[in-house]
Amino acid sequence: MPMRLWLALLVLLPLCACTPQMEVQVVRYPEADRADAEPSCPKVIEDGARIPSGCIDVGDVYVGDTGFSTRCHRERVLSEVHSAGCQVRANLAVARRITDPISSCYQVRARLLRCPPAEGVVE
Amino acid sequence: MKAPVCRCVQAFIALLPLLSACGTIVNGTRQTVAIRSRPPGATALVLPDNLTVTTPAEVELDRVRAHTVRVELQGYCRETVHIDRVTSESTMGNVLVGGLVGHTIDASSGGGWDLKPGAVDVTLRPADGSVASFLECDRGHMPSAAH
Repeated sequence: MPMRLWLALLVLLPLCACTPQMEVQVVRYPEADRADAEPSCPKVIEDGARIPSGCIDVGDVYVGDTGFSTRCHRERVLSEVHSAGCQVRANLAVARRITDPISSCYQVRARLLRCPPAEGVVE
Repeated sequence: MKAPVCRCVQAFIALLPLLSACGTIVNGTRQTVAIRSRPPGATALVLPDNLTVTTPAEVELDRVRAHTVRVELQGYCRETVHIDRVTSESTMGNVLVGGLVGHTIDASSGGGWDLKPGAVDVTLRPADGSVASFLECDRGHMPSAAH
């Protein structure tokens, strides 16, 4: 193989994995598939707020750094949490920030909850 | 005929990925996580792996992704523990050796990540008569009786 091709391979190999996106991993619990659940998207709150009574966990989402993420500011990450909540028909998401001293990304783990419609969220 | 030095450079480039990923070399791609409960004998479901074990147990989990452990025992409130993926300090070695190639390999193999917490240790609380077993009933988060 020509030397130039080898060098090109060396440069391109790392770039193949470079994505500025975040790693978004949604876990859907069996409770998410209840037939009576109506389509909904969650209100996203951060940890520390009181969770209303009567909610059930329908999933969780991890939004983290891929090692190459650049678009990972707080608003963007919470927007990913919101989208993940829509997938499992959650109406409340409680996000907890993950401490990672090496990464500069805002990373969260969020519980995705389905709460009774009448329940409000007290922040 | 090609110069021997040229062949050496080619061989070096081809082998570089094997030599450079500090996190993968130090950590491996999987991490052993202990799952314990009080009382023991609970069922632990690890997601998204869909791995079911009875506590106490040790499981080998991929470092490349986060995990969720749901611990259930008849008559007790279910506990859910999130195992998050954070950057491993061993990836800092790529600053000295490995560079972008090493960092890429660590990020994609999982060797560049640590799973935290490294052990799941839960104390299950008895469910009172108002809720069915297997339900989460923590922190003002009582499930509806109908569920």
